Amino acid sequence: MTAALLSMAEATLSAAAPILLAALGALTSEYAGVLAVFMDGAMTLAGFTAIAVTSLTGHPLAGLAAAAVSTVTLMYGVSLFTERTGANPFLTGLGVNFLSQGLTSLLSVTLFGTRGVIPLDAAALVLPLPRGWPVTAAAFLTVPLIAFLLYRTVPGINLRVSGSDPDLLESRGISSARYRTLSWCVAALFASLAGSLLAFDLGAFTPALSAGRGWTALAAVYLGYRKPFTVALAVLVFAAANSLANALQGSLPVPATVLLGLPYALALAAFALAPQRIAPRGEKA
Amino acid sequence: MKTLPLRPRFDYAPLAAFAAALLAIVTVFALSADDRGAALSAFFLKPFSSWWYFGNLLNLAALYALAGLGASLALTGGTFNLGGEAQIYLSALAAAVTLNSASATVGPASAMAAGLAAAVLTGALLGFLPGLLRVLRGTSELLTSFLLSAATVPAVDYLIGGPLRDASKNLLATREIPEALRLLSLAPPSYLNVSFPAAIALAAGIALFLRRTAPGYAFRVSGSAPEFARFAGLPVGAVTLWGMTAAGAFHGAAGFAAVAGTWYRCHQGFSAGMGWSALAAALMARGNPLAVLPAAFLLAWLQSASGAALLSTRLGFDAAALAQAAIFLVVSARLIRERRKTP
Repeated sequence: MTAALLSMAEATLSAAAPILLAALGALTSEYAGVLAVFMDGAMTLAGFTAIAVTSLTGHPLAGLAAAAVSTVTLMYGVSLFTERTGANPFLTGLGVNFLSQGLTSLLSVTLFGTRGVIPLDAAALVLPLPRGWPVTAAAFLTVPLIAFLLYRTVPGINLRVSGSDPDLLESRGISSARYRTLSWCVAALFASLAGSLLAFDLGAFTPALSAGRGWTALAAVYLGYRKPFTVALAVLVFAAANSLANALQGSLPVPATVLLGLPYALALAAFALAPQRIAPRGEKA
Repeated sequence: MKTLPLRPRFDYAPLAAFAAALLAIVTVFALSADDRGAALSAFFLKPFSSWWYFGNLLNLAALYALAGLGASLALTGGTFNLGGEAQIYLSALAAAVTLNSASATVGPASAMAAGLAAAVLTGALLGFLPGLLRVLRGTSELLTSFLLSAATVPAVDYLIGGPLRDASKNLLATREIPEALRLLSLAPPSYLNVSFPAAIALAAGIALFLRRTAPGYAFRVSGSAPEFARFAGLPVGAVTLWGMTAAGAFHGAAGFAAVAGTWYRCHQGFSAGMGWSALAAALMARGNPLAVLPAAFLLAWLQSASGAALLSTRLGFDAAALAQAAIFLVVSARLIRERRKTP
């Protein structure tokens, strides 16, 4: 019994790690007034890049770096476009999700000849894949790091003010748009880490890799009262609920197909119960 | 010094969004297909090569337009309905089940009315719930409608693949509806049916509603200037609720037309992408219900053309997602600065 509980706790922490990274990215952009609806798509795209480059070079770190650089570059471009044209950030964020879906299917077919799973050949790897408890621990250590950066450093405080009071920032000669763009990039960096971690954990890329985790992360931001440590707690609650559902899959009267909707249902419940009025029209930035 | 607009600004973004989508798809086919000529020829010519293709293109446009009119109505009232996927899918399932079960007990006309009512009410309920959360708790309907849809789709997949599956066939689909319960076909052998003129009539009806009636005025003002609408005593909350409910109902009607007029059964995953295309049509139409019709036609052409080109190349990637990416990225952008003069 104890062993089973320990094993479930380990599985929960491991499952929580990518959602936590995504939630911290979404939290950073939320502070700057940008709702990170692109998180789910950015994670999938990053996971694909990580697996594709690792598969081609044999170096997981090259895969990770490529995922980070490409995702941040893409989101930097989208954020600049959104700021300069006054486009609705919710719609451009959705556009990123579609781009991820279309681009990963196109590149999967043209580079690997399949639209299905792209497995990594473990024997061809120069270094072992970064996964397991050290990576999980590192993911959790980013919580105090982000808290420190956002609350104790000047750029972090400016970033938070760029969402809550952009006029104050402008009156001091600081561009709030620049900080909003920075927040897209930080969210993209975290999305790339989350997506890579998911893909490396599986040792493969699967279509719709993120499977709603980006939306779960977004919900955790609100359930966690938009504070790093409580957001981490909310992520743990989501991950525990998921682990429990998976563990009970055989004995529950709920079919496995229906459980695919569970992350979205949990996120929906979180948003419905969240105490604050949120994202009135999706046009916060 | 005060500046005045020289002339009303023409909104280029919907056209630019479509052009971006077209360019993205054509570029991908030109770069990745082994036989570029065949792919591009299939893309541009195949949808217009026969009544079969063109009728089916018009029928797809009718489905997009029916759902897009609902999305457009919600946008006019100031709300975003992102739950279109499940609203079409679950409604189609409700229509298929109702049509099949009602056919055994009542006449064709009553059975069809029951099927339509089941689909419209199912879609309306899926729109109503996010609208209610918005009104009661201030929760963003953007997120809740999307999440409700994403949570519902796997459950519908399960129902179609499991308890409601037609076990006598080798398909993941419900039982076929009886021939007497199918919508009147307009251009056999294509699937074009009466839902096409119905979509045109509904677009005209909604345009009249918005422009000539008091509730229509409340819709327009609540969407464009909610603070003013509140100050003027207009029922902004009711507009939110009705806008979302109506959006769901129109998606439900599209689900009914898909089953009763197109596929005659509810296939697993048949509606994937339809809700997003409907929203794209509504966004391109910029709140004008009549403009939803050409927008739906353009998107249906893009979809049919991509399908024809994919068949000729056997590449099998998700071309529709690339087109939707381009549209959603560009459609809300202000691409041209207003031309001004100094008086």
